[in-house]
Amino acid sequence: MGSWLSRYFERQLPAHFLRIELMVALVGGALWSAGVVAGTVAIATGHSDGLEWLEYPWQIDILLVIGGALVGFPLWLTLLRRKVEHLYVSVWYIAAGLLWFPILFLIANWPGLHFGVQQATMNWWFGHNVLGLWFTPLALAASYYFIPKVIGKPIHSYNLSLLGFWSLAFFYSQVGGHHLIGGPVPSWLITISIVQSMMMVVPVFAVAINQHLTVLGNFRALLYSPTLRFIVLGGMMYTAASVQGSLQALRAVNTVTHFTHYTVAHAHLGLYGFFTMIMFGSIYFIMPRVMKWEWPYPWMISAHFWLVLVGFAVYFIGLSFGGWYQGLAMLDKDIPFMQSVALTIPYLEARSIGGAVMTLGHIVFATHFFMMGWKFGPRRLGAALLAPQPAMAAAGLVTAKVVAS
Amino acid sequence: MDELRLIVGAMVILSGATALLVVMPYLLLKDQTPPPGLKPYTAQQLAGRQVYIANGCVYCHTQQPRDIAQAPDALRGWGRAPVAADYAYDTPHLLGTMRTGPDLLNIGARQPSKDWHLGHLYQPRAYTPGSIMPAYPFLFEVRQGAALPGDTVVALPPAFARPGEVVVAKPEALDLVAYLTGLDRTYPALAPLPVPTQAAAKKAGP
Repeated sequence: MGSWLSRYFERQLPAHFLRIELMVALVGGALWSAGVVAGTVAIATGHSDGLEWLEYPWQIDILLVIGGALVGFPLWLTLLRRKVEHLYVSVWYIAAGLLWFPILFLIANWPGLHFGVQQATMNWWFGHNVLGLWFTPLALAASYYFIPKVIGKPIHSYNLSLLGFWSLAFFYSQVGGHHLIGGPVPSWLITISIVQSMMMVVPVFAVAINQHLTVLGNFRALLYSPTLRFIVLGGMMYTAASVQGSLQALRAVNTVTHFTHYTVAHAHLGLYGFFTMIMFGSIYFIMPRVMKWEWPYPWMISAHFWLVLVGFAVYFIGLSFGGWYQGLAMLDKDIPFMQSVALTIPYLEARSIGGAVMTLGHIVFATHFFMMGWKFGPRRLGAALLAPQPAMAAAGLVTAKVVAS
Repeated sequence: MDELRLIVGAMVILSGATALLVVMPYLLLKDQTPPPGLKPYTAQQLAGRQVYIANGCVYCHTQQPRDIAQAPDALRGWGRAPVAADYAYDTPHLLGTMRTGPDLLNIGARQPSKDWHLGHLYQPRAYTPGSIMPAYPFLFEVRQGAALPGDTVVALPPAFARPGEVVVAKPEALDLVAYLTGLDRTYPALAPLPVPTQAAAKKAGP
């Protein structure tokens, strides 16, 4: 089917088609951004759908469904018209993610379809699929692309990436029910989700082994490459968050952690520690190539990295301990409920401090981003690195053109 | 791997997960009848539910007490473990995921006083020392002098009331309190067993 379609496109469509594809993707991106702004304003002004992860009113969701589909459309056309035989791992993840998201989001937000407890199971089917079939594939695609690219070495094992991809899709899509342990939903549903949550160790270790064995022997690159530093750290947090998530789905552990700040800390380890870190790393690689101007001040990249890392460590460790103690207090019938509230206060203060340091890091990043956009700083011949690259330093070619960023 | 395998595999897997977690519960629950003890929300309670959603109450309060075998929720007065039919009128569902504050599924049974709720929303710490719940002053109007006829005046504890001032509840506050005081699932979860009849008892033997 693919080759027939590709021949059709080659014959029927003129060369400027590529430009139309670009326009479609840009319009999709614009609709998406408009939707995110409108949805955030809606939540802040009290116009929420009332479901966690699905707060945006459905009228605004239309923008995200259409925007997401438009971004995916040119990617799928490119696939159909490609001339190479093999598709790289990153393409599997991005192509599948861009297909999954509009479907998930459309079903989840369909007005008038869901009700009562059924809506709760749908809510967590969506809540975990948006992580497993959208955020995770995008971030894994980025790390599968940038790690070999920056290090200059192919990915460790093709077969492992195949196993990682399909087992992620299969197991991750069924874990949502572990959010309803102890809730008014059928036990079989919760049990399936717990089993699949444990099975998640298969894709997680497949990805971890594959990526970390690629980095192995090249850890020095983390000293100078901003991209690699963020992405390798993000990859480590992926392993940590996933293993933690599997354990947290067990009934015995979940009884303590459910309804506490521990879950909040875990969610941030996934979405911030893993996803956001990898996106930071990717932005450091992509943007200079788009803007045709390097990052002006490497010290700002370094400041950004350490501020978000230290801030997040304070945030995560504080909330994890606070949440665990809160959970134990809630399970003890002799401890009044108010005591489970009072004991969390120092940990919530740690959260505020950690969050403030992270915010400071984000301000540094945003400032640096706009400085690059307005072409501040010296004209560089090569990538802006955090430290001299060893081989280059030896040759005295610190400013020479290098691939790494 | 080619795109055909990718697209088919991705769609089959997503359909499977959707069948399990969305369609099956839909088929299981769509014909459930509400328990006899559960009344539909009034128009005012539904408006109050929207105030609950708009102010993000769900981010700190659950509406799903756990079974006594799992957690001592019932001993805290939060009620029995709920069943799916208890949520027959709840769209969107507000089960919640966080207990920064207590479970609210039976708050109406536990704390039926309208005055308590109004005062507590205006200033939580006037009623619960050490509470970290935010105050909601924008649901109220503070007026100098006496209240007008038709006003619902909030009866604050003397230590928190200021002389010469009245705190009047806005309609949003009254709606929210109507919703909260209506939250009561203390009726039995299961329908009572039928009374044994003479004939059936004889047939079954001793």
